[in-house]
Amino acid sequence: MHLAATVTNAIANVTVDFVSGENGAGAGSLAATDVNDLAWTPPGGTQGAAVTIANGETKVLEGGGATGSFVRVTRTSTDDLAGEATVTLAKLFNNALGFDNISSAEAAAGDTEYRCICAKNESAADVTVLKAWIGTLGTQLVSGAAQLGASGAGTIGVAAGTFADWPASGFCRIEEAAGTLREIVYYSSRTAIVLTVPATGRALLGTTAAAGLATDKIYPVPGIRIGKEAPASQPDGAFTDKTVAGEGSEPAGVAWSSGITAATGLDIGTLAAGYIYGLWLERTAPEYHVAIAAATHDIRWGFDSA
Amino acid sequence: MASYTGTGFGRHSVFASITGMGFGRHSVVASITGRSAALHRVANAALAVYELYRGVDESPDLDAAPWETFATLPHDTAALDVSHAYHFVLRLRNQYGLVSQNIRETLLTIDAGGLLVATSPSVAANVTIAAEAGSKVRVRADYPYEADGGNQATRFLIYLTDDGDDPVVGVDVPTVVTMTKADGVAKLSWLSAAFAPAATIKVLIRTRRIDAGPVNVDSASSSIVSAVTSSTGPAAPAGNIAIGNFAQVQ
Repeated sequence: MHLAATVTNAIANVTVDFVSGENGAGAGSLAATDVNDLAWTPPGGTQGAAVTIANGETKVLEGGGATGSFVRVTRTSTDDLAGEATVTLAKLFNNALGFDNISSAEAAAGDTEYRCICAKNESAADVTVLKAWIGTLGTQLVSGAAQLGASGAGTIGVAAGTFADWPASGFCRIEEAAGTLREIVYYSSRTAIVLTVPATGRALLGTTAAAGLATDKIYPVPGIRIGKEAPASQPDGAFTDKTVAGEGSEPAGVAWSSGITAATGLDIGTLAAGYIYGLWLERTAPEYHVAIAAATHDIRWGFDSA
Repeated sequence: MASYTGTGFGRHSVFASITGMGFGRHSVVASITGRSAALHRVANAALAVYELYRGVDESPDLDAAPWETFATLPHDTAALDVSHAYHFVLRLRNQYGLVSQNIRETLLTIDAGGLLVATSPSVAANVTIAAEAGSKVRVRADYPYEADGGNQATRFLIYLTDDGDDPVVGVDVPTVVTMTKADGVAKLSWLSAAFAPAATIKVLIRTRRIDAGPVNVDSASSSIVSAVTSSTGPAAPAGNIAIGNFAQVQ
């Protein structure tokens, strides 16, 4: 699930194969620092170490100080490399991770849909401690000023900080002070210091409505949770097929996770070279979901590689 | 006392200091994290409406709430008060809440009697006149039509005198030239008929829109420009070309 990349002033005989999501959106720079060397500068970042690349080779170029911010490029000629290309990155709409748009009828009635993404270890070595979890979409705050009741509509207010970098409407993860998940709710609007939660926005994504406390931690999250499924066989067995049952049919036997850290997310474990694993996503839109021009789904992942 | 001698046996070791190289393995484990993000939209069909912004005697505030919203066109607004000029901007919002960024104004003026006052098109700009060969003159002018939005002119009116007097609108009969519009500017380049040599030609330009009726709605007059005709006019370009190993143009 990479970013869309638009290259301007391209470096001749160099193709951009992949741009990691960690780069973020914006304009990056791919520079030929020597006739056989390339270096990558992520949007808003610093230039990484130059990498020597020969004709026919595919290399990973990392940004300065950020191993997750990289591009994978291929050189297609022995001609000397020269110039500096601007690589404009943007999030993609409506791919497997982003899901399709939610229609007006679906938003009014509420809608839950599923997608499956296949993770494959394309390296020659084992990948260990493979994990996936939900990314947050803004600053964590504390519901010090107002909390939800045991059920029904209500508001969540903060006594310190603001919701300035939270989406205009979306999902809020409420955790007890110690970090235990209390509830995930949907807020239909917000001010700088108050989230408004409709009655239909309670107890979402597998949680149960519960009264909040002034010490609760709150996070802006996408309206998704994730689950894992082993293939029928390795290295290329099938996953549960829902093409006939439809996108609204939940895959059986999948245990869902809404964790927002590596420790509380999915633990897939070891994935041998060439092996695959299924990552299911469940997207929820509660009844009377308000219109929004760009709702973000954010998945984080991590692994160890020898 | 007898002395005995014998052989004793013992061992000693000779130790040599030896250095060598041992071999082993270690692994460098890289912990890698990444992020994947993507987007979708959420629709609400009720949001898909036209939004009409209105400014009274001034441009509307496009950051404020629209004056009226409606789902279809044409649309009749509420009644307008008399003796005001109304600036309207129409935008369209889609079902995802995204609104168009139109800023073009439509100006309607209502007089004290409640009648619509026709809004004149803008005055032509860059009006020039130059003597041409054969005692003719060429008149040029520009009309940036986009600025007038729905009140754009479609004609140039050329008021011309050849007796040295200023042209008078309503007295002199204008020559009407249909505009050709391209790239935001309608350009006039009009060559007159021949006049007497050394005649003083004066010209002013107006623009005209023809409303339903038909009713002619003219702009204000441009400034007056003048030129003196010449039987010879400016010299025509003359050239020679020599063709050999290279071409020389004079």
